[in-house]
Amino acid sequence: MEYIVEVVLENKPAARDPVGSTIQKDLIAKQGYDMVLNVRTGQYLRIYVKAENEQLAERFVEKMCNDLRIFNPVTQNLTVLSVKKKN
Amino acid sequence: MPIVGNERDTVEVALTEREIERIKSILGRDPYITEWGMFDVMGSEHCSYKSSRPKLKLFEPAEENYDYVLAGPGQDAGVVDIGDDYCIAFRIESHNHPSAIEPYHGAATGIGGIIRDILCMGMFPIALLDPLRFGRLKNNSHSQWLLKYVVKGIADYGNCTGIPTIGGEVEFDHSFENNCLVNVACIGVGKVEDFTPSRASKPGDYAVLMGNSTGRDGIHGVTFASRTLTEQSESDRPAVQIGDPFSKKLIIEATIEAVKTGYVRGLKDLGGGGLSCASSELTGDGGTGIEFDVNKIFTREPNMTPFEIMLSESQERMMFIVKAEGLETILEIFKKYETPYAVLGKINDSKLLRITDADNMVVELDPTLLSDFPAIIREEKRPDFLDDLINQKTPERSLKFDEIIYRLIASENICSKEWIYRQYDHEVGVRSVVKCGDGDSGVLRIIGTNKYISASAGCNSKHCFLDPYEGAKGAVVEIGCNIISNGLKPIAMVNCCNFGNPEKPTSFWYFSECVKGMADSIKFLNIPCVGGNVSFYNEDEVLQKVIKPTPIIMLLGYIEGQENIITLPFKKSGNPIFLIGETKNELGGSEYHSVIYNIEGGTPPKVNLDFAKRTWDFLLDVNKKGYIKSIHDVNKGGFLITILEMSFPNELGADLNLYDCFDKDLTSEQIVFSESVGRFIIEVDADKIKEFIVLIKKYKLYFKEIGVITEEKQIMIKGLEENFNLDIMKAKNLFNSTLPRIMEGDM
Repeated sequence: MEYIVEVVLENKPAARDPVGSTIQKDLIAKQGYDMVLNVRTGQYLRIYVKAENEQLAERFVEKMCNDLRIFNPVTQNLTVLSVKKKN
Repeated sequence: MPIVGNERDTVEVALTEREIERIKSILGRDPYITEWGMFDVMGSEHCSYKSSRPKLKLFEPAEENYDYVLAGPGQDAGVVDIGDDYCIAFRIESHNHPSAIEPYHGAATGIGGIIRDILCMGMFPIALLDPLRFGRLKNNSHSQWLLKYVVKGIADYGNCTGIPTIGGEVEFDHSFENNCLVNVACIGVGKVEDFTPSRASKPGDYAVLMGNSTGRDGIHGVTFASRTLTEQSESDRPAVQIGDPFSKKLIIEATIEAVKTGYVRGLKDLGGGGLSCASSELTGDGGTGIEFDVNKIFTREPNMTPFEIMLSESQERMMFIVKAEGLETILEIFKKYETPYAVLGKINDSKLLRITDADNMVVELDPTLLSDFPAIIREEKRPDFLDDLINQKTPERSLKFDEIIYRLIASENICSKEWIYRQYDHEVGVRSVVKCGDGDSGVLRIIGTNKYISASAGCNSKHCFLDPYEGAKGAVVEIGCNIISNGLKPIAMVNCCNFGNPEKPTSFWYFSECVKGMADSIKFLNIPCVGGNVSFYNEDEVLQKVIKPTPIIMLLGYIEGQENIITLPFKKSGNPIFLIGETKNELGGSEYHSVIYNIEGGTPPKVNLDFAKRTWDFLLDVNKKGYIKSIHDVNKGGFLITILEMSFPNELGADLNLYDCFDKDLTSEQIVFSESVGRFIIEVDADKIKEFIVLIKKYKLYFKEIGVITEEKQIMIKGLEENFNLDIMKAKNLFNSTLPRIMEGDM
């Protein structure tokens, strides 16, 4: 079976996000959108993977991203947004 | 670790019972919780230098003994006067521990920190250098990951702030596998009147915090750096910060403009130890005091406690000490650059650091209690294993010479480092005169003058491992030779000492011997030590593995006149080649031993300082006359490797006749592969040989004319045990392809 695993990598909440704060400060707040309190950026990955079922696909992607240091668990969080079967 | 505090709050501190008792007895009370936190960071090895200070006294006082030194050790950076109102600030420090667990941000924030150190002397940062150490790369994905992201972290940060990386040095050795070393150096230039010391000396001045907001990141970063890495380090997350080069660029501009007004009397960056370190050192060293409310400090997160605010190591912050009459002007500058700021309070003459949280007193103590932590005398012991190691014999040679040399030129420690430096912007700022790869050091023009400076940094960790005293001397001489090779004169030194756990007598012995070696050699060579940094605890507790001792030396070179600057590539066929310096039976710690036989022992090089000094004097003298066409100092792999490196750029060959050029007792392997320190390969103008020889004889140096440059793309070697040829194109290809092949996945 082929699955599509959607993954978001972002800095941990306590870590700074200079890109996000620059967008918030320089592009948004300066235009008067003061209802926008914060912006955090991240990286979105869509991974197509062969696996027996959804759980295995998800677990495989998490482990691979960790083992290959596609993100660094010391400063970043990995969140799996969704796992879908490919049509 | 002991737990201290009161009924409400407690905290675990890395202080000894004696230190805790001393603090209590001097204060005559139990410290408040925030004070405990501050004692904890300021008492850490990183901030207090408590183990290293007794040894660092061996360096003679630079400011007293050298009239051109404006700022020596103890300030945020060394500053030297280069005449006509110009001065140069430079400093090197380590960012090893953060980089070992988060290479990208660890290296980037290291660069950020060292830039701030230069900036806070009032100088404009113009160049970066980065000596690095990693485990062996081949078939080692962890070392490759570290190298890749450390280089990317340095490159991204340096390139974004517009400061070129002009040099560096890297060694790969198994001892650095889990404790990589990331040393970062920065050079700045400015006018003498802009020089700003790191102290608050005058009551009535204002203390202004400027830069990014204070968050919970990096709380206790320095205590983390003052510990060995363990399995738990992965979760020691708070110690890693995220760098922000875009804010840094604004901070640099705003700081330089503020300094130019003449209203900034003192300046300090907030690095390790954060506000605790900055506020206590500014007032402690200035003999003054200050009172402020922590609520004035702008924070990134709500509900931060005074403890967290005082200990946060959030990046990109500076503390300005501003003359009262200039406060408005300075604040206008900060507003213009949109850098947040807070006026904390006035400097006073109370000699007390008083910090309140609204109506509550959270800190009330003499700042020197924090800034002058008592030293600890450590035990030293020479390791027992050294004698066996030094007595190791060179195994019987089974390979032919050309085969060995091809292996050496392709080895990780000798091959071209272009894969690394091409990622750095080394030309931005149009100051670079000699670029990475063209010379032994990076040379920069001081814009608007005829003055040139250069810098080189490094050491040979394998030599230091076998003999730390001679190894450190060798490092000073070798780095000095790099400066001399480009035609400049070494004028000042800073160092970055990377060692294991100082509480272990053998690790401390290495540190102690290296400091002695450095101090003795710079004294002899008349070079002041204007600053340094010590990084201990580079040791893996789980594997019981200590890094090889790494006393990184950084020297600053200076000369007037571009015509005096020389580069390393061979220039013209027909010109004779000279080897200057004595080649001895010194294969210990050589690349030959390590690459071919995988052994680390043998007799390491001993350094003759008198000879090195005469060689330098001769080279500076002969260089002014223009007899030298190219020059390269002999380093790892021996002098044939040096000749190959000189032959690559213009693809010129050489015909060498080594018969009768060396001590009769030496074997051919010792002649070719020995790494004796202080030697040079020199190309002399064919029309000036006579004059050259007359002059060199006057200096009573060892020298031999060993051959001539040819058009053919090969080095022909006669006069050894066997005659052999080296194909320049084959060697060049091996030299250039090793790192790309490893890093891009072939090996």
